[in-house]
Amino acid sequence: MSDDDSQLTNNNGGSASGAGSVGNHTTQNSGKGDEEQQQFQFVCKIDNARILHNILSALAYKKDGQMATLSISANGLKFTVEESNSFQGNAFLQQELFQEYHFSSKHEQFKINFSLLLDCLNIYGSGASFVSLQIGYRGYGHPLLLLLEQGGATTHCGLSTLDSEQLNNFNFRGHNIVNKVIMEAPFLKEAFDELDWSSTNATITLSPNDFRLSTAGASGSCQVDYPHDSEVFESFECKSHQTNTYKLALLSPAIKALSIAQKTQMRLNEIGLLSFQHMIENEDKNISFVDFFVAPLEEDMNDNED
Amino acid sequence: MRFKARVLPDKATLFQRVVSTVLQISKECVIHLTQTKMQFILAAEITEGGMQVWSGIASNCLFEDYAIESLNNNEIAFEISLDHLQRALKSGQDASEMLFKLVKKNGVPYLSFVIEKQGQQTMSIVQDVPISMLTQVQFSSYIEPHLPDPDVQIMMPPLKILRNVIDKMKNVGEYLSIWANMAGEIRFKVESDMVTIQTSYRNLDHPQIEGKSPPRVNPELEAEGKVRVKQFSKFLYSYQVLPNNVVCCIVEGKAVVIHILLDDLYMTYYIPMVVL
Repeated sequence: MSDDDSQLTNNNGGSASGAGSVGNHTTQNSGKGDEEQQQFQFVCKIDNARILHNILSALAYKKDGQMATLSISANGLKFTVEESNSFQGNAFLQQELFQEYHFSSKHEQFKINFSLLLDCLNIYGSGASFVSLQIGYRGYGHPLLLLLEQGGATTHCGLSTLDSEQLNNFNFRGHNIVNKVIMEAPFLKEAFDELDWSSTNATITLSPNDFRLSTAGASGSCQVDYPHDSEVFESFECKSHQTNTYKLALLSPAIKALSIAQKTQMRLNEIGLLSFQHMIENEDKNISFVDFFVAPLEEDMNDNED
Repeated sequence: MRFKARVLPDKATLFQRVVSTVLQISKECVIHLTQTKMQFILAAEITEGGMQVWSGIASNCLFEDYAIESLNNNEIAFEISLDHLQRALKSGQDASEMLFKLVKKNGVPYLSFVIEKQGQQTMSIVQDVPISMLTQVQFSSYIEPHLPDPDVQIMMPPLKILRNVIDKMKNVGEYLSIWANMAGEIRFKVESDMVTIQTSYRNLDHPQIEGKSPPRVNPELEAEGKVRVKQFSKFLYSYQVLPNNVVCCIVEGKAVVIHILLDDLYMTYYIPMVVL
């Protein structure tokens, strides 16, 4: 390892320059010399890789092959996962989380294999502690480099980068936010766990008096109700009675992610777009946020029927 | 032909762990008993690039009242299904006594376990594990691979963490590159279109082979090769026996040989190198 702390080093003959990419193609970087000479556009360091792995695992809903878009800015790193234009998840790794964060003023955005990224972050296993992590990026066409050290082991990873597509802008605030509920994460998870997950859709109803989740399917129907003054709510604001139906598969990532969050804020805007904002307390006591947007199925918008 | 032995009470767990470790690789196994040792041999598919496992333990390390007699130099070899053997050994856990012997029932050979458990009452369990005898001629086709001296031999890094690393590497591709030198360094690498992962260790020791002079630490001596990551990962199950030493030998162009050592127990994994 080189002594230069601000650089991801290349061991003599031991660097993993990884597979680079240009556009939608991937090319192997043949010239190690080229890699070494090109300056890093971005480098950051964190002493405990587990913190990042924990936050990012909130976005993992596929067993493997899941892609994500990474945006690098002065404020931090943002990972985005999407499904068509009905679902989006974002994890924010704010720059304060890192012991070092060197941003070169060039905003970067690209796609990577998120499943493999998580495997790399967790390379030494979940039992391993004190895994230090450096992330580096030399710019367009170069792989995202990771350096993970634990005890006597050093791991270099190079993840291919692909051009990112335009991310969905749900423009949540573009319509009035009518309903807002803050709940401890375990309570909301418990409520959703009661539903029949073999159903295709779930309906969420918010009225000034209560909060209701329901599913209806071949095996029957199921309903969970909380009155507005229930102790499960840290706060409950309902400006307008709303009933919306969502695909359970699109709600699932946000619900799964509740298991690592302390609490969550659920908001609905006028057109029934649902937003979850999960608050996660990290090992180092910093707070991080992961949010999710789920679009309603088109038939039920502001259905005033009970 | 005669064979019987009693499992030493505090060695039942080790016996179980050895069987369990070999079972992770293959259910079908050959057991070879001699006057001094018990061997477990997995030598199937060697010609198709398959890995081999040769494991042995001194009989007096696991057993007492060990008696063996046969026309073939007092050696006995048979095929056995390790999952059946494991089941018998599980019954023997916490037993006050576990004996086993070769028997024939209705003309069919078995390894018969007689287990006594003390509880409120004494319970006696008999487990017969079917076996398939190998003749001297049949067994003679099992020959431990003879390889040239390794180019590099180096202590493996701790298995506990290495297991997790190799596990993640399995997700990336079929082949694992291993590189090591005689200056304490070893590197494991996998690559695909999407990712390259390389894990390296330094300051590893080089074992001294009995009867030979201590290894000369020489950074210029290095060796590497590619193996199938799935095969390679199988030796990692041996963490169960809590080995004293795990040595990695690289014979360039031929094989990676891993030696697992714990007192009188040895497990040798021969992993063929792939030439792509």
